[in-house]
Amino acid sequence: MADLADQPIPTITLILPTIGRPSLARALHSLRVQEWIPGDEVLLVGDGSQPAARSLWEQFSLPGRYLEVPGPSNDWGHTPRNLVMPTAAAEYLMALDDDDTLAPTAIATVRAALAEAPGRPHLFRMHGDPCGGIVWCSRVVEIRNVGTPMFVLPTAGRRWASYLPYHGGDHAFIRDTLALWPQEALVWREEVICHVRPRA
Amino acid sequence: MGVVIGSYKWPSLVALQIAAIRHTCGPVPVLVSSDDPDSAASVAAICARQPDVFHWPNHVKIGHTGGDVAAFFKGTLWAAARGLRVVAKLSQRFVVTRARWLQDGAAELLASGLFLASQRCRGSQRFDLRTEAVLLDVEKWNRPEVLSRILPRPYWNDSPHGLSAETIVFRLLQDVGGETFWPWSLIGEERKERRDGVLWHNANAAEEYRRLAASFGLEIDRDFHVYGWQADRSKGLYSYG
Repeated sequence: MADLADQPIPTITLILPTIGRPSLARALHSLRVQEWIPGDEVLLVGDGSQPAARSLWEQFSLPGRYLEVPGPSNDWGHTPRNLVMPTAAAEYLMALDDDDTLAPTAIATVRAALAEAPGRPHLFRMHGDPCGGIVWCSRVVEIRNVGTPMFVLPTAGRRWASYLPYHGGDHAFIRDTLALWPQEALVWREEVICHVRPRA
Repeated sequence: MGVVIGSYKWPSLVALQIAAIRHTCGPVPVLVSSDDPDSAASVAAICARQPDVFHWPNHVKIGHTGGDVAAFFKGTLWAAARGLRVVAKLSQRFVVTRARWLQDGAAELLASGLFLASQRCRGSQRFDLRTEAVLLDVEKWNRPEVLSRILPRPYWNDSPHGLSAETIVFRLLQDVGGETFWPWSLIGEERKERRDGVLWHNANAAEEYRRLAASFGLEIDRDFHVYGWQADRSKGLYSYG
């Protein structure tokens, strides 16, 4: 068994599309408490002009950058993610919505898991509305059982599909991306790394 | 939710503020924090004529910075006593005409989970925060570590170059308020920029205040102006406090 201490530490790009909702402040706060390392980056993506998001970005001092794409696209962040994913500079890619929050140790948890099984896509678990509980429930890639913030994938080779512009497009993205990988590549993880639409 | 208005010198502006708040936001409670013993009786009379308007004067004039800071202090205590979750602190010449601005702003602030809502001041003037219009999450402000930093007193001479309310509130945010604020879309970052739904003395003419007052059947004091206080200060009539 390889000694994990000898493995290079994986770096992470987190994409966060936003329409400037107030819940973005909670999302960014959840990012601020994470264990970021050099090479990590947060890409906060304004879906159209989002002055509130820009202002918050300047206040929160996170690694990465704020950028805007034409919009708003009104498709749950699917178009902004498609536009920005190719610019990810880290070794792994994940995403968050602007009404979700990461669990306090999410990035460290993800990084540790990636070190155990490098170069493979991972599905973690998430908690909260609209599911009401914790998903994934079973190891099946199907709608309502998997979602964007759970999915972490390598950037090498850009082996990913596109988010399709409809509700449920995040499930389709995960399904279609995994179709580009060998069937056994996916790593299912038990850890809850995010809270979906947490109550104020 | 409620509103605290800082008042100095012009009682008619208090009447205008109350009318505008009632017109845009309905019968929300209002606190008037006045820093001018000379006009306190007139302000008290205006407040007494309106339902759910409370007058809390400074019995000794504090001055510009301290008077502004006192409105934050009194607004917090008053709102907490009333069980309000959000209070909007407005300077007397910041008059809002946008419907439901208080309700919409309060909902945004609470959803953000942040200490306050305002904007940075960038452009012709530069401050880390604008204090003429601020939304406060009352629960986050009603704590000893916050209130002890905004006691009603003069502050200007605490710094060799003068200490502004903007600096005091921003330092408070940095030290005990979680460092970040919600950027309130009601106001912009440039004080001299005209904004729909807002009158502000750096961006609007005195005549616009008079027209708005007239629409409510009110008149503004004859000596009302939209300038700074430097002229009064040079005559010894105004303190930066």
